[in-house]
Amino acid sequence: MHAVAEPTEARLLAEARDGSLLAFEEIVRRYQRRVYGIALRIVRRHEVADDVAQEAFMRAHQALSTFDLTRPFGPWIGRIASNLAINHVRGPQAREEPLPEGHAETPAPGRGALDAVLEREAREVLEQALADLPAEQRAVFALRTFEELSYREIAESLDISIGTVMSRLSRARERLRGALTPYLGLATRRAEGG
Amino acid sequence: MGPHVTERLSAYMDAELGEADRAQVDAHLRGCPACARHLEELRAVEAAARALPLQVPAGYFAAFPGRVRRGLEPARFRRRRYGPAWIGAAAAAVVLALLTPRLLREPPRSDLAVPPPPAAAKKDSGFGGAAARVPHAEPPRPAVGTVGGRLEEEGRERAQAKSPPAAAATRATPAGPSLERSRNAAVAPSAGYAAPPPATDEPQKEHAAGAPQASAPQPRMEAESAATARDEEPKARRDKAALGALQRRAERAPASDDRFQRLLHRTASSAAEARAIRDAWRAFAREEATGPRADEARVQAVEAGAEAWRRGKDDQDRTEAQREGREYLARPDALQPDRVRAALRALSP
Repeated sequence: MHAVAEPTEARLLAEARDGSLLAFEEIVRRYQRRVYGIALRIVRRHEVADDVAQEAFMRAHQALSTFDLTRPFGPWIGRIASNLAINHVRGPQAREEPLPEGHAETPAPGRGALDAVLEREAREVLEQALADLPAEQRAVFALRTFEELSYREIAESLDISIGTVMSRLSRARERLRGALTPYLGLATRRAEGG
Repeated sequence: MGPHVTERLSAYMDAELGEADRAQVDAHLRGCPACARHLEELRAVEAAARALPLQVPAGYFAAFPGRVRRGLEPARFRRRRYGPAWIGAAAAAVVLALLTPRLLREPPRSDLAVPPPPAAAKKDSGFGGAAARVPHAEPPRPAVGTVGGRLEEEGRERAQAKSPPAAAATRATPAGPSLERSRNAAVAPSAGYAAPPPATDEPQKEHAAGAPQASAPQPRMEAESAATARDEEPKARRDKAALGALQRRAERAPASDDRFQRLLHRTASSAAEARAIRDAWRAFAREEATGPRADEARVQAVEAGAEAWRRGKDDQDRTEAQREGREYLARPDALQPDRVRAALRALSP
Protein backbone atom coordinates (compact mmCIF):
# COMPACT_ATOMS: atom_id res chain seq x y z
CA MET A 1 0.00 0.00 0.00
CA HIS A 2 2.73 2.37 0.95
CA ALA A 3 4.66 1.38 -2.17
CA VAL A 4 1.68 2.32 -4.30
CA ALA A 5 1.66 5.75 -2.72
CA GLU A 6 5.26 6.46 -3.68
CA PRO A 7 5.24 9.83 -5.32
CA THR A 8 7.81 9.26 -8.01
CA GLU A 9 6.29 8.88 -11.40
CA ALA A 10 8.70 6.23 -12.63
CA ARG A 11 7.94 4.06 -9.61
CA LEU A 12 4.21 4.38 -10.12
CA LEU A 13 4.57 3.56 -13.78
CA ALA A 14 6.72 0.54 -13.01
CA GLU A 15 4.11 -0.70 -10.56
CA ALA A 16 1.36 -0.04 -13.07
CA ARG A 17 3.29 -2.00 -15.64
CA ASP A 18 3.50 -4.85 -13.16
CA GLY A 19 -0.27 -4.83 -12.91
CA SER A 20 -1.09 -2.38 -10.14
CA LEU A 21 -4.25 -0.59 -11.15
CA LEU A 22 -4.06 1.60 -8.06
CA ALA A 23 -0.67 2.86 -9.18
CA PHE A 24 -2.08 3.61 -12.60
CA GLU A 25 -5.04 5.31 -10.99
CA GLU A 26 -2.62 7.65 -9.24
CA ILE A 27 -0.97 8.40 -12.57
CA VAL A 28 -4.40 9.16 -14.01
CA ARG A 29 -5.09 11.44 -11.06
CA ARG A 30 -1.94 13.40 -11.73
CA TYR A 31 -2.46 13.81 -15.44
CA GLN A 32 -6.22 13.87 -15.83
CA ARG A 33 -6.53 17.65 -15.96
CA ARG A 34 -3.88 17.97 -18.58
CA VAL A 35 -5.28 15.17 -20.71
CA TYR A 36 -8.87 16.28 -20.38
CA GLY A 37 -7.80 19.88 -20.99
CA ILE A 38 -6.05 18.98 -24.23
CA ALA A 39 -9.03 16.97 -25.38
CA LEU A 40 -11.60 19.59 -24.44
CA ARG A 41 -9.72 22.40 -26.09
CA ILE A 42 -9.61 20.48 -29.32
CA VAL A 43 -12.97 18.72 -29.39
CA ARG A 44 -14.87 21.37 -27.34
CA ARG A 45 -17.60 19.04 -26.08
CA HIS A 46 -17.36 17.65 -22.58
CA GLU A 47 -18.72 14.22 -23.35
CA VAL A 48 -16.35 13.78 -26.29
CA ALA A 49 -13.40 15.11 -24.29
CA ASP A 50 -14.32 12.65 -21.55
CA ASP A 51 -14.29 9.80 -24.05
CA VAL A 52 -11.00 10.93 -25.51
CA ALA A 53 -9.39 11.28 -22.08
CA GLN A 54 -10.53 7.80 -21.04
CA GLU A 55 -9.40 6.32 -24.30
CA ALA A 56 -6.02 8.02 -24.02
CA PHE A 57 -5.37 6.53 -20.59
CA MET A 58 -6.61 3.12 -21.70
CA ARG A 59 -4.22 3.16 -24.62
CA ALA A 60 -1.35 4.38 -22.51
CA HIS A 61 -2.03 1.56 -20.08
CA GLN A 62 -2.03 -1.01 -22.85
CA ALA A 63 1.22 0.36 -24.21
CA LEU A 64 3.01 0.75 -20.88
CA SER A 65 5.23 -2.23 -21.62
CA THR A 66 6.74 -0.29 -24.51
CA PHE A 67 7.14 2.95 -22.59
CA ASP A 68 10.60 4.02 -21.51
CA LEU A 69 10.22 4.70 -17.80
CA THR A 70 13.10 7.14 -17.78
CA ARG A 71 11.10 9.52 -19.94
CA PRO A 72 8.41 11.82 -18.60
CA PHE A 73 4.89 10.47 -18.92
CA GLY A 74 3.22 13.84 -19.50
CA PRO A 75 4.31 14.54 -23.07
CA TRP A 76 3.54 10.98 -24.05
CA ILE A 77 0.01 10.87 -22.70
CA GLY A 78 -0.48 14.39 -24.01
CA ARG A 79 0.46 13.28 -27.47
CA ILE A 80 -1.83 10.29 -27.33
CA ALA A 81 -4.71 12.49 -26.19
CA SER A 82 -4.10 15.15 -28.80
CA ASN A 83 -3.88 12.57 -31.57
CA LEU A 84 -7.16 11.03 -30.47
CA ALA A 85 -8.80 14.43 -30.19
CA ILE A 86 -7.52 15.59 -33.54
CA ASN A 87 -8.74 12.42 -35.16
CA HIS A 88 -12.09 13.18 -33.71
CA VAL A 89 -12.31 16.71 -35.08
CA ARG A 90 -11.20 15.39 -38.45
CA GLY A 91 -13.86 12.73 -38.44
CA PRO A 92 -17.31 13.05 -39.92
CA GLN A 93 -19.04 12.78 -36.57
CA ALA A 94 -17.30 15.83 -35.16
CA ARG A 95 -20.13 18.08 -34.26
CA GLU A 96 -19.74 21.80 -34.14
CA GLU A 97 -22.61 22.84 -31.91
CA PRO A 98 -21.77 25.18 -29.05
CA LEU A 99 -20.56 23.87 -25.75
CA PRO A 100 -23.21 23.20 -23.17
CA GLU A 101 -23.19 25.32 -20.05
CA GLY A 102 -20.77 23.90 -17.52
CA HIS A 103 -19.52 24.77 -14.11
CA ALA A 104 -16.35 26.77 -14.00
CA GLU A 105 -13.82 24.76 -12.10
CA THR A 106 -12.17 27.79 -10.61
CA PRO A 107 -14.09 30.75 -9.31
CA ALA A 108 -13.52 34.24 -10.63
CA PRO A 109 -10.65 35.89 -8.80
CA GLY A 110 -11.75 38.25 -6.08
CA ARG A 111 -11.07 41.58 -7.71
CA GLY A 112 -13.26 44.60 -8.07
CA ALA A 113 -16.81 43.92 -9.10
CA LEU A 114 -16.40 45.64 -12.46
CA ASP A 115 -13.20 43.79 -13.21
CA ALA A 116 -14.86 40.53 -12.29
CA VAL A 117 -17.78 41.21 -14.62
CA LEU A 118 -15.49 42.27 -17.44
CA GLU A 119 -13.27 39.33 -16.84
CA ARG A 120 -16.16 36.92 -16.94
CA GLU A 121 -17.43 38.51 -20.12
CA ALA A 122 -14.00 38.39 -21.68
CA ARG A 123 -13.66 34.76 -20.74
CA GLU A 124 -16.99 33.94 -22.31
CA VAL A 125 -16.10 35.86 -25.45
CA LEU A 126 -12.77 34.08 -25.66
CA GLU A 127 -14.38 30.68 -25.08
CA GLN A 128 -16.85 31.40 -27.85
CA ALA A 129 -14.15 32.69 -30.18
CA LEU A 130 -12.12 29.54 -29.56
CA ALA A 131 -15.17 27.42 -30.23
CA ASP A 132 -15.82 29.34 -33.45
CA LEU A 133 -12.34 28.72 -34.83
CA PRO A 134 -12.19 26.25 -37.70
CA ALA A 135 -11.25 22.87 -36.23
CA GLU A 136 -7.87 22.77 -37.96
CA GLN A 137 -6.90 26.18 -36.57
CA ARG A 138 -8.18 25.24 -33.14
CA ALA A 139 -6.10 22.07 -33.11
CA VAL A 140 -2.93 23.99 -33.97
CA PHE A 141 -3.71 26.65 -31.41
CA ALA A 142 -4.43 24.08 -28.69
CA LEU A 143 -1.26 22.13 -29.32
CA ARG A 144 0.83 25.28 -29.24
CA THR A 145 -0.82 27.18 -26.42
CA PHE A 146 -1.89 24.45 -24.06
CA GLU A 147 0.58 21.67 -24.92
CA GLU A 148 3.43 24.01 -25.79
CA LEU A 149 4.56 21.87 -28.68
CA SER A 150 7.08 23.32 -31.12
CA TYR A 151 5.97 24.07 -34.66
CA ARG A 152 7.86 21.03 -35.84
CA GLU A 153 6.11 18.80 -33.33
CA ILE A 154 2.73 20.23 -34.29
CA ALA A 155 3.52 19.70 -37.96
CA GLU A 156 4.39 16.08 -37.23
CA SER A 157 1.33 15.52 -35.09
CA LEU A 158 -1.02 16.90 -37.71
CA ASP A 159 0.93 15.78 -40.74
CA ILE A 160 1.13 19.26 -42.20
CA SER A 161 4.02 21.54 -43.10
CA ILE A 162 5.63 23.94 -40.67
CA GLY A 163 4.52 26.79 -42.94
CA THR A 164 0.92 25.62 -42.57
CA VAL A 165 1.33 25.46 -38.79
CA MET A 166 2.64 29.00 -38.82
CA SER A 167 -0.15 30.42 -40.95
CA ARG A 168 -2.97 28.56 -39.15
CA LEU A 169 -1.66 29.63 -35.80
CA SER A 170 -1.31 33.24 -36.90
CA ARG A 171 -4.84 33.28 -38.31
CA ALA A 172 -6.24 31.67 -35.18
CA ARG A 173 -4.56 34.21 -32.93
CA GLU A 174 -5.70 37.12 -35.06
CA ARG A 175 -9.29 35.89 -34.86
CA LEU A 176 -9.09 35.57 -31.10
CA ARG A 177 -7.49 38.98 -30.79
CA GLY A 178 -10.24 40.49 -32.95
CA ALA A 179 -12.91 38.96 -30.73
CA LEU A 180 -11.21 40.14 -27.55
CA THR A 181 -10.39 43.67 -28.70
CA PRO A 182 -12.89 45.37 -26.38
CA TYR A 183 -11.34 43.66 -23.36
CA LEU A 184 -7.67 43.78 -24.25
CA GLY A 185 -6.88 46.70 -21.97
CA LEU A 186 -8.07 44.65 -19.00
CA ALA A 187 -6.25 41.54 -20.18
CA THR A 188 -3.04 43.49 -20.70
CA ARG A 189 -3.29 45.00 -17.23
CA ARG A 190 -3.84 41.57 -15.71
CA ALA A 191 -0.98 40.06 -17.68
CA GLU A 192 1.20 42.78 -16.25
CA GLY A 193 -0.03 41.93 -12.79
CA GLY A 194 -2.06 45.14 -12.36
CA MET B 1 10.83 51.34 -40.79
CA GLY B 2 9.55 49.15 -43.62
CA PRO B 3 6.19 47.38 -43.99
CA HIS B 4 4.33 46.20 -40.88
CA VAL B 5 5.20 42.75 -39.58
CA THR B 6 1.88 41.70 -38.05
CA GLU B 7 1.65 38.44 -39.98
CA ARG B 8 4.98 37.34 -38.51
CA LEU B 9 4.29 38.36 -34.93
CA SER B 10 2.71 35.06 -33.99
CA ALA B 11 5.82 33.08 -34.93
CA TYR B 12 8.03 35.80 -33.46
CA MET B 13 6.21 35.44 -30.16
CA ASP B 14 6.90 31.70 -30.23
CA ALA B 15 10.57 32.20 -31.12
CA GLU B 16 9.95 30.17 -34.25
CA LEU B 17 11.29 32.67 -36.78
CA GLY B 18 14.62 32.22 -38.49
CA GLU B 19 17.53 34.41 -37.50
CA ALA B 20 17.15 36.92 -40.32
CA ASP B 21 13.38 37.20 -39.94
CA ARG B 22 13.71 37.67 -36.24
CA ALA B 23 16.26 40.45 -36.59
CA GLN B 24 14.02 42.17 -39.11
CA VAL B 25 10.99 42.00 -36.83
CA ASP B 26 13.07 43.17 -33.87
CA ALA B 27 14.21 46.20 -35.81
CA HIS B 28 10.71 46.98 -36.96
CA LEU B 29 9.21 46.70 -33.50
CA ARG B 30 11.68 49.22 -32.12
CA GLY B 31 10.35 51.88 -34.45
CA CYS B 32 6.66 50.91 -34.80
CA PRO B 33 4.41 51.41 -31.78
CA ALA B 34 1.44 49.95 -33.68
CA CYS B 35 3.16 46.61 -34.28
CA ALA B 36 4.59 46.62 -30.75
CA ARG B 37 1.09 47.10 -29.40
CA HIS B 38 -0.21 44.40 -31.69
CA LEU B 39 2.38 42.01 -30.27
CA GLU B 40 1.36 42.90 -26.72
CA GLU B 41 -2.25 42.18 -27.57
CA LEU B 42 -1.36 38.80 -29.03
CA ARG B 43 0.52 38.00 -25.84
CA ALA B 44 -2.43 39.09 -23.75
CA VAL B 45 -4.76 36.85 -25.77
CA GLU B 46 -2.35 33.99 -25.29
CA ALA B 47 -2.20 34.56 -21.55
CA ALA B 48 -5.99 34.83 -21.34
CA ALA B 49 -6.40 31.57 -23.25
CA ARG B 50 -3.97 29.79 -20.95
CA ALA B 51 -5.86 31.11 -17.95
CA LEU B 52 -9.23 29.81 -19.13
CA PRO B 53 -10.69 27.51 -16.52
CA LEU B 54 -11.67 24.05 -17.59
CA GLN B 55 -15.42 23.75 -17.75
CA VAL B 56 -16.26 20.46 -16.12
CA PRO B 57 -19.26 19.19 -14.19
CA ALA B 58 -18.79 19.27 -10.45
CA GLY B 59 -16.99 16.21 -9.15
CA TYR B 60 -15.74 15.14 -12.54
CA PHE B 61 -12.06 14.94 -11.64
CA ALA B 62 -12.81 13.30 -8.33
CA ALA B 63 -14.44 10.38 -10.08
CA PHE B 64 -12.44 10.15 -13.29
CA PRO B 65 -9.41 8.13 -12.06
CA GLY B 66 -11.70 5.54 -10.54
CA ARG B 67 -13.67 5.28 -13.74
CA VAL B 68 -10.50 4.65 -15.71
CA ARG B 69 -9.35 2.07 -13.19
CA ARG B 70 -12.67 0.27 -13.27
CA GLY B 71 -12.53 0.30 -17.04
CA LEU B 72 -9.22 -1.53 -16.80
CA GLU B 73 -10.31 -4.03 -14.16
CA PRO B 74 -11.04 -7.57 -15.26
CA ALA B 75 -14.73 -8.35 -14.96
CA ARG B 76 -14.27 -10.65 -11.96
CA PHE B 77 -12.82 -7.79 -9.93
CA ARG B 78 -15.37 -5.28 -11.06
CA ARG B 79 -18.16 -7.20 -9.37
CA ARG B 80 -16.55 -6.45 -6.04
CA ARG B 81 -15.86 -2.78 -6.48
CA TYR B 82 -17.65 -1.87 -3.28
CA GLY B 83 -15.48 -3.97 -1.03
CA PRO B 84 -14.28 -7.52 -0.90
CA ALA B 85 -16.98 -10.04 -0.11
CA TRP B 86 -15.00 -11.35 2.84
CA ILE B 87 -15.65 -8.14 4.77
CA GLY B 88 -19.37 -8.84 4.73
CA ALA B 89 -18.82 -12.50 5.49
CA ALA B 90 -16.45 -11.72 8.36
CA ALA B 91 -18.85 -9.18 9.85
CA ALA B 92 -21.69 -11.67 9.67
CA ALA B 93 -19.50 -14.35 11.27
CA VAL B 94 -18.58 -12.07 14.17
CA VAL B 95 -22.20 -11.17 14.78
CA LEU B 96 -23.22 -14.81 14.63
CA ALA B 97 -20.50 -15.80 17.10
CA LEU B 98 -21.68 -13.14 19.52
CA LEU B 99 -25.34 -13.99 19.23
CA THR B 100 -25.28 -17.76 18.90
CA PRO B 101 -25.33 -18.57 22.64
CA ARG B 102 -28.41 -16.42 23.08
CA LEU B 103 -30.08 -17.78 20.00
CA LEU B 104 -29.44 -21.35 21.15
CA ARG B 105 -31.44 -20.65 24.29
CA GLU B 106 -34.47 -19.79 22.17
CA PRO B 107 -37.19 -22.42 21.64
CA PRO B 108 -36.55 -24.38 18.44
CA ARG B 109 -39.72 -23.19 16.72
CA SER B 110 -38.73 -19.59 17.27
CA ASP B 111 -35.52 -20.23 15.41
CA LEU B 112 -37.36 -21.89 12.58
CA ALA B 113 -39.59 -18.88 12.34
CA VAL B 114 -36.68 -16.51 11.82
CA PRO B 115 -36.56 -15.73 8.12
CA PRO B 116 -33.32 -16.53 6.34
CA PRO B 117 -31.07 -13.49 6.23
CA PRO B 118 -31.80 -11.53 3.10
CA ALA B 119 -28.10 -11.42 2.49
CA ALA B 120 -27.93 -15.15 1.87
CA ALA B 121 -30.59 -15.06 -0.76
CA LYS B 122 -29.69 -11.78 -2.36
CA LYS B 123 -25.96 -11.74 -2.22
CA ASP B 124 -25.17 -12.84 -5.70
CA SER B 125 -28.12 -11.43 -7.50
CA GLY B 126 -27.78 -8.13 -5.74
CA PHE B 127 -24.16 -7.43 -6.52
CA GLY B 128 -24.11 -9.21 -9.81
CA GLY B 129 -27.18 -7.47 -11.08
CA ALA B 130 -25.91 -4.12 -9.98
CA ALA B 131 -22.49 -4.68 -11.45
CA ALA B 132 -24.05 -5.52 -14.77
CA ARG B 133 -25.60 -2.06 -14.85
CA VAL B 134 -22.42 -0.23 -14.03
CA PRO B 135 -21.35 1.61 -17.19
CA HIS B 136 -17.91 0.05 -17.30
CA ALA B 137 -18.86 -3.45 -16.33
CA GLU B 138 -19.35 -4.74 -19.85
CA PRO B 139 -16.52 -6.63 -21.47
CA PRO B 140 -14.48 -4.42 -23.78
CA ARG B 141 -15.15 -4.65 -27.46
CA PRO B 142 -13.24 -3.36 -30.47
CA ALA B 143 -13.61 0.34 -31.14
CA VAL B 144 -15.00 0.04 -34.62
CA GLY B 145 -15.86 3.35 -36.18
CA THR B 146 -14.66 5.32 -33.20
CA VAL B 147 -11.97 7.84 -32.59
CA GLY B 148 -9.72 5.04 -31.57
CA GLY B 149 -10.64 3.01 -34.59
CA ARG B 150 -9.87 5.86 -36.90
CA LEU B 151 -6.57 6.47 -35.27
CA GLU B 152 -5.76 2.84 -35.87
CA GLU B 153 -6.51 3.19 -39.55
CA GLU B 154 -5.57 6.71 -40.45
CA GLY B 155 -2.87 7.57 -38.01
CA ARG B 156 -0.90 4.37 -37.82
CA GLU B 157 1.61 5.03 -40.55
CA ARG B 158 2.21 8.60 -39.48
CA ALA B 159 2.32 7.75 -35.84
CA GLN B 160 4.72 4.88 -36.35
CA ALA B 161 7.01 6.93 -38.49
CA LYS B 162 7.08 10.12 -36.51
CA SER B 163 5.95 9.58 -32.99
CA PRO B 164 7.32 6.43 -31.43
CA PRO B 165 5.50 6.63 -28.10
CA ALA B 166 2.18 7.48 -29.70
CA ALA B 167 2.82 4.84 -32.29
CA ALA B 168 3.34 2.30 -29.57
CA ALA B 169 0.04 3.29 -28.09
CA THR B 170 -1.85 3.22 -31.33
CA ARG B 171 -0.40 -0.09 -32.35
CA ALA B 172 -1.82 -1.68 -29.27
CA THR B 173 -5.03 -3.60 -29.74
CA PRO B 174 -7.90 -1.27 -28.97
CA ALA B 175 -9.21 -3.29 -26.08
CA GLY B 176 -10.40 -0.31 -24.06
CA PRO B 177 -14.02 0.72 -23.98
CA SER B 178 -15.23 1.83 -27.34
CA LEU B 179 -15.75 5.51 -27.70
CA GLU B 180 -19.31 5.02 -28.84
CA ARG B 181 -20.14 3.02 -25.76
CA SER B 182 -18.52 5.38 -23.35
CA ARG B 183 -20.19 8.29 -25.09
CA ASN B 184 -23.52 6.63 -24.45
CA ALA B 185 -22.57 6.44 -20.82
CA ALA B 186 -21.52 10.06 -20.80
CA VAL B 187 -24.75 11.31 -22.34
CA ALA B 188 -26.31 10.88 -18.94
CA PRO B 189 -23.64 12.40 -16.73
CA SER B 190 -25.16 11.15 -13.53
CA ALA B 191 -24.65 7.59 -14.67
CA GLY B 192 -21.04 8.17 -15.45
CA TYR B 193 -19.38 10.27 -12.81
CA ALA B 194 -21.50 12.64 -10.80
CA ALA B 195 -23.89 10.38 -8.97
CA PRO B 196 -22.99 7.87 -6.32
CA PRO B 197 -22.27 4.45 -7.76
CA PRO B 198 -25.52 2.87 -8.87
CA ALA B 199 -24.59 -0.56 -7.58
CA THR B 200 -24.98 0.55 -3.99
CA ASP B 201 -28.65 1.25 -4.59
CA GLU B 202 -29.54 -2.12 -5.93
CA PRO B 203 -29.07 -4.33 -2.92
CA GLN B 204 -30.95 -1.77 -0.84
CA LYS B 205 -33.89 -1.85 -3.18
CA GLU B 206 -33.91 -5.58 -3.24
CA HIS B 207 -33.71 -5.81 0.50
CA ALA B 208 -36.43 -3.26 0.85
CA ALA B 209 -38.62 -5.25 -1.49
CA GLY B 210 -37.88 -8.35 0.52
CA ALA B 211 -38.55 -6.73 3.85
CA PRO B 212 -42.29 -7.47 4.14
CA GLN B 213 -41.61 -11.10 3.35
CA ALA B 214 -38.89 -11.28 5.93
CA SER B 215 -40.90 -9.67 8.69
CA ALA B 216 -44.17 -11.42 7.97
CA PRO B 217 -43.58 -14.41 10.25
CA GLN B 218 -42.38 -12.17 13.02
CA PRO B 219 -45.72 -11.81 14.93
CA ARG B 220 -46.11 -15.57 15.06
CA MET B 221 -42.63 -15.99 16.47
CA GLU B 222 -43.34 -13.36 19.10
CA ALA B 223 -46.58 -14.95 20.20
CA GLU B 224 -45.06 -18.38 20.58
CA SER B 225 -41.93 -17.30 22.32
CA ALA B 226 -43.80 -15.10 24.77
CA ALA B 227 -45.06 -18.08 26.75
CA THR B 228 -41.72 -19.82 27.16
CA ALA B 229 -39.14 -17.04 27.27
CA ARG B 230 -41.01 -14.01 28.43
CA ASP B 231 -37.99 -12.36 30.02
CA GLU B 232 -35.58 -13.12 27.23
CA GLU B 233 -37.94 -12.42 24.39
CA PRO B 234 -37.65 -8.67 23.81
CA LYS B 235 -33.87 -8.81 23.98
CA ALA B 236 -33.65 -11.83 21.72
CA ARG B 237 -35.99 -10.20 19.24
CA ARG B 238 -33.85 -7.09 19.24
CA ASP B 239 -30.78 -9.24 18.77
CA LYS B 240 -32.31 -11.06 15.85
CA ALA B 241 -33.43 -7.82 14.29
CA ALA B 242 -29.96 -6.43 14.87
CA LEU B 243 -28.45 -9.52 13.30
CA GLY B 244 -30.50 -9.09 10.17
CA ALA B 245 -29.79 -5.38 10.01
CA LEU B 246 -26.08 -5.85 10.52
CA GLN B 247 -25.93 -8.52 7.88
CA ARG B 248 -27.81 -6.36 5.45
CA ARG B 249 -25.62 -3.42 6.28
CA ALA B 250 -22.44 -5.44 5.96
CA GLU B 251 -23.72 -6.70 2.67
CA ARG B 252 -24.54 -3.41 1.07
CA ALA B 253 -22.05 -0.98 2.61
CA PRO B 254 -19.01 -2.92 3.71
CA ALA B 255 -16.62 -0.17 2.69
CA SER B 256 -18.47 2.74 4.12
CA ASP B 257 -19.82 3.54 7.58
CA ASP B 258 -17.96 1.04 9.70
CA ARG B 259 -14.72 1.48 7.88
CA PHE B 260 -14.99 5.24 8.18
CA GLN B 261 -15.66 5.06 11.89
CA ARG B 262 -12.81 2.64 12.44
CA LEU B 263 -10.45 4.90 10.58
CA LEU B 264 -11.58 7.91 12.57
CA HIS B 265 -10.62 6.12 15.76
CA ARG B 266 -7.19 5.07 14.65
CA THR B 267 -4.31 6.99 16.16
CA ALA B 268 -0.65 6.82 15.29
CA SER B 269 2.13 6.28 17.77
CA SER B 270 4.86 6.10 15.14
CA ALA B 271 5.61 7.44 11.69
CA ALA B 272 4.93 4.03 10.18
CA GLU B 273 1.50 3.91 11.78
CA ALA B 274 0.73 7.42 10.58
CA ARG B 275 1.68 6.37 7.07
CA ALA B 276 -0.55 3.33 7.29
CA ILE B 277 -3.43 5.54 8.44
CA ARG B 278 -2.72 8.02 5.68
CA ASP B 279 -2.74 5.23 3.10
CA ALA B 280 -5.97 3.86 4.49
CA TRP B 281 -7.59 7.29 4.19
CA ARG B 282 -6.30 7.63 0.67
CA ALA B 283 -7.78 4.30 -0.26
CA PHE B 284 -11.07 5.28 1.35
CA ALA B 285 -11.14 8.60 -0.50
CA ARG B 286 -10.44 6.84 -3.76
CA GLU B 287 -13.03 4.16 -3.32
CA GLU B 288 -15.69 6.52 -2.01
CA ALA B 289 -14.68 9.38 -4.28
CA THR B 290 -18.23 10.49 -4.91
CA GLY B 291 -19.50 9.73 -1.43
CA PRO B 292 -20.29 12.21 1.32
CA ARG B 293 -17.19 11.31 3.36
CA ALA B 294 -14.63 11.63 0.59
CA ASP B 295 -13.79 15.21 1.53
CA GLU B 296 -13.14 14.30 5.15
CA ALA B 297 -11.06 11.32 4.02
CA ARG B 298 -8.88 13.52 1.82
CA VAL B 299 -8.32 15.96 4.65
CA GLN B 300 -7.53 13.12 7.04
CA ALA B 301 -5.01 11.75 4.56
CA VAL B 302 -3.20 15.08 4.47
CA GLU B 303 -3.25 15.35 8.24
CA ALA B 304 -2.03 11.80 8.70
CA GLY B 305 0.75 12.49 6.21
CA ALA B 306 1.74 15.58 8.20
CA GLU B 307 1.71 13.48 11.34
CA ALA B 308 3.97 10.90 9.68
CA TRP B 309 6.44 13.66 8.91
CA ARG B 310 6.18 15.13 12.40
CA ARG B 311 7.02 11.79 13.92
CA GLY B 312 9.65 10.55 11.47
CA LYS B 313 11.00 13.73 9.86
CA ASP B 314 11.25 11.79 6.64
CA ASP B 315 11.41 14.30 3.78
CA GLN B 316 9.44 12.03 1.55
CA ASP B 317 6.50 12.13 3.94
CA ARG B 318 6.61 15.89 3.89
CA THR B 319 6.83 16.06 0.08
CA GLU B 320 3.88 13.73 -0.26
CA ALA B 321 1.81 15.58 2.29
CA GLN B 322 2.57 18.91 0.65
CA ARG B 323 1.64 17.58 -2.75
CA GLU B 324 -1.51 16.00 -1.41
CA GLY B 325 -2.42 19.21 0.40
CA ARG B 326 -1.90 21.32 -2.69
CA GLU B 327 -3.96 18.92 -4.76
CA TYR B 328 -6.72 19.12 -2.20
CA LEU B 329 -6.68 22.92 -2.18
CA ALA B 330 -6.90 22.93 -5.97
CA ARG B 331 -10.08 20.90 -5.89
CA PRO B 332 -13.23 22.84 -6.72
CA ASP B 333 -15.16 20.72 -4.22
CA ALA B 334 -12.78 21.17 -1.29
CA LEU B 335 -14.89 21.83 1.80
CA GLN B 336 -12.21 22.22 4.46
CA PRO B 337 -9.38 24.23 2.97
CA ASP B 338 -8.54 25.84 6.31
CA ARG B 339 -7.78 22.51 7.91
CA VAL B 340 -5.52 21.54 5.07
CA ARG B 341 -3.77 24.91 5.11
CA ALA B 342 -3.15 24.42 8.80
CA ALA B 343 -1.69 20.98 8.11
CA LEU B 344 0.53 22.45 5.42
CA ARG B 345 1.73 25.18 7.77
CA ALA B 346 2.66 22.49 10.26
CA LEU B 347 4.89 20.95 7.61
CA SER B 348 7.22 23.94 7.63
CA PRO B 349 10.68 22.92 8.78
